[in-house]
Amino acid sequence: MKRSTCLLGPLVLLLGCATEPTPPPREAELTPAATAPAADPAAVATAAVADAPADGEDPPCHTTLPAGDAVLGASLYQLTLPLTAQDGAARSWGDLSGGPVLASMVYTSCTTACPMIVSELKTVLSRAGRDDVRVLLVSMDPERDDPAALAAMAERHGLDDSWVIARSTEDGVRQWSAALGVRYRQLPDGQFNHSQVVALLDADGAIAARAEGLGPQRDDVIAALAKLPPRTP
Amino acid sequence: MLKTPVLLIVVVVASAAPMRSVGPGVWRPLYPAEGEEAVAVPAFQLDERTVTTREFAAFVRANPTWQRGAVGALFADEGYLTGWASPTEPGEALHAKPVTQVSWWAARAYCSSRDARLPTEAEWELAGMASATTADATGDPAHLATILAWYSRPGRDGLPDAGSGPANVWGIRGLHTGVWEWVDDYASALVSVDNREDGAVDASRFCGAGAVSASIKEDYAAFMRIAFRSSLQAASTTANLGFRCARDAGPEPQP
Repeated sequence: MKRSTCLLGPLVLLLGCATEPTPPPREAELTPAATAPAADPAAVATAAVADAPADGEDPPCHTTLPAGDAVLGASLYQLTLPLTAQDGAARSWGDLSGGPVLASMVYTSCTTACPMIVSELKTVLSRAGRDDVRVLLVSMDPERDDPAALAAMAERHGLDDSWVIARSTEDGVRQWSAALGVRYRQLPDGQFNHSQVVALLDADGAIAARAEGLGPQRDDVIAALAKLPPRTP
Repeated sequence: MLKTPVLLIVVVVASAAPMRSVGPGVWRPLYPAEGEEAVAVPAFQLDERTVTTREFAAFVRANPTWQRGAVGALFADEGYLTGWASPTEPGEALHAKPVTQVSWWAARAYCSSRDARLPTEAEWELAGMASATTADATGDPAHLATILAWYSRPGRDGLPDAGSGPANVWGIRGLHTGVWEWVDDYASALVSVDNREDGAVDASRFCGAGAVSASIKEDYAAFMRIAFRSSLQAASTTANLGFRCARDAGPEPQP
């Protein structure tokens, strides 16, 4: 934890300076996403760094950071994304950082496109041949996809612990879809029209590859995944 | 007698546009899904005009993380607030103009700071259906002609001031004569034909089959809005894309 604090500290500091309300990625906070005016960056940073100095002191490393780092500025870990996973536990979105993440959106009553996405992701995982990749599927149907429905989907597809199928808030879904570039619309019958986007996130949460509809683009994702370094604990 | 109005004007300019009550009403989407032909839109509050650069400058001064150069690439593209004299000051000449070069994220953050939100597409379109005299002018050729007049005006004329032009029956100004405007669910536009590359609209569907199957064939401007929204990403900024805020109907939030 000591080490990860050191690694994350600069990340959090920078994000705190560069974005709107940015709760620390490692904190399991369930705050409404991006609704409050921007927090004081120093306050955010202090809250994030476990061994931060007392009030009034500058957070460590603050002055050594390159301002507006392009990679961190693109990080999806800047998002406040309250998640409840298929086991019913609140998950901190930032816990997935530190290694490759395959990210997409589904909903459990989806009969065609979503099983296809799951199957494509399985193919990517098996062809990548590495065990440090996490998959995050956020439901676009937070109203109906409770943990039981998410667990049933995981069971149905035989998904292990490296898969997080999660419910967020309505606002979290909107932000997540905006960040991934997923276009979606709920239909009167409860189904969704949606584009099938799979994004590969690097250790810092920047999009390393993005595919719409996978299929022919699957190889690009696998190739990009092969270039990402192993997950750091 | 003169002093009071003058003071009032100062207060209004320094804060935000007044909100007007819109709806309830029924909006008929151009590309309705089955069962979605008539969307009931509850009453809501909408800014009388688009947000100005002066107002947005006050926001970024109070929230430095939203200043040009401080915002990450996730939240705004490189066009964010370009054209401003400095990261905190647009320049006097722009003060009354609608703020443009703002991303969806930035527009949302601004509205949040006012305890408001972006309007949904249904809300915006409901407000946009109104003429000066009626809440639903969608079948009125004169209303459609007024809207189309904006599209035929050359861009080099520059943006009109926010809130210029006549109010519609709800008291809302500039919906069809100012700038394009963000809606919260911009990403729902044309979602069923999402085989686009880099934001280009599926031209065959849009100009051909789509136009024929649309519910209101005369409303060319509505096609334009859908096409425009479908080309946007959340970080997109353009020189003629601004926004106004909305709020659920009900009592004003306590400060």
